[in-house]
Amino acid sequence: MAMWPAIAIMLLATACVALALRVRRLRAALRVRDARTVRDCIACEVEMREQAAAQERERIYSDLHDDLGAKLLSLVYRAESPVQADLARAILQDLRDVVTRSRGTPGSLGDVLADIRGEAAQRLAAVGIGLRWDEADDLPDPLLDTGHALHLHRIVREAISNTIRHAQARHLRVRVRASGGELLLELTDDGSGVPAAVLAGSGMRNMRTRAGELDGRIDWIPGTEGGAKVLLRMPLETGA
Amino acid sequence: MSSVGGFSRALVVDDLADVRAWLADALREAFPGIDVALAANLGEAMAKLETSPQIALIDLGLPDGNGTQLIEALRKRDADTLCIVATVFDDDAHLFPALRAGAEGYVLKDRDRESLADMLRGIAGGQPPLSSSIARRLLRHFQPPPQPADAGVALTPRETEVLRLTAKGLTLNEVAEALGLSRHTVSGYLKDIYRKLSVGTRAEAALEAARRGLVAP
Repeated sequence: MAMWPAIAIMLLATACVALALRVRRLRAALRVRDARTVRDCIACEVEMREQAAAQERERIYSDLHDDLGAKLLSLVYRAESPVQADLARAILQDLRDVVTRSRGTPGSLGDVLADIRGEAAQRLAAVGIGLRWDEADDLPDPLLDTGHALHLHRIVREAISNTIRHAQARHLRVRVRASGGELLLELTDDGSGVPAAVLAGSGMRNMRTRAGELDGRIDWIPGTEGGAKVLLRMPLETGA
Repeated sequence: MSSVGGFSRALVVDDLADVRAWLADALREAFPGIDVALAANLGEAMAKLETSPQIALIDLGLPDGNGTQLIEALRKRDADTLCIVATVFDDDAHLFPALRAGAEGYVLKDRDRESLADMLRGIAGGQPPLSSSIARRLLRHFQPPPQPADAGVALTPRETEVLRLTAKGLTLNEVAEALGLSRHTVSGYLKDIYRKLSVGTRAEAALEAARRGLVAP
């Protein structure tokens, strides 16, 4: 008889625990739902913000296209040397980036590298410098957000500008590979080394800043057989 | 479609005098003795169609409309004019509508005169230029499953391979080398891809027209 209260208490306790567990599960489920709602809201807001940004870029583009595009074209047409024309073309390419980003679809690392390669081939051919492009076959292909893609574009563009303007190079080799979760992008020319003008210029500072934006780092190293080497390392997120 | 290197009448449409002069010079360099008519807007260009140009270099953003309208008008005339877009932007979003309307290539206005002339000669000889972003767009466009309207205009494995390599940023020469083909053969594939694009577009247009009851299906 004396057992009954104990059993009753035990049963009650078990029921309480079961109930508590259930409540906890329900709460957890609710939290997940709340989190989802919040996430959806954030996603929605991000999307709206991105849309607004795209519209703004489009507007800026329309404003700039006729004026700036036309002026840069004139500079290209009136240039006194291929190197001078390349300077105007490189700025025009910056403008193209803005426009493409405002209209294009987001791309993967491979897409961005393809565009960079195409641009490099065109620019170098126009000034008579040969391009050798070595890209590892096993390179991961994560999606890049447009900001990262732009930084990568600009860093390589600036490095090639330096080769064209200062190095008196005949060849440029670009090596792209992945190692230890990092992307390694290496540009090596056979020119006159890292020129003082480059070291002192704002271009190098900009490249450093951009590398920082990529959570990476950039270094200038004298090439083993003369010339200059630019090495960019950035973390690769292969989850995407 | 075009008599290689044998152009004698051209039309250049651009609102900027500098650009018109640059493109006209490149045309003269590519095809010596060519007669170049100039137009600063869509209206002027339409009025000059009577000259039946064999090649037309067309800017897309004209003050009184889009160059794509001119390409469509030229296609409707069936005058065999080779329509080439002259652009500052060679990304897919800019060019794809014009290519689908029947443009058979594009040239970048900021290219130097010699390489412009080379590009023009290449285009005339069936060697349309193709940027990696447009190649990607084309790959997506032709990706299976093909629409019923696209039946018969799917890409061959070789054409797909050419596009895939171009999408990776390889130049025509590099594509040729990678596939062990001649430059000429790869050019042929590119030309076929462009042709299939506008054929597919026409088939889609016909289907759309049928759907809207414009013509009997």
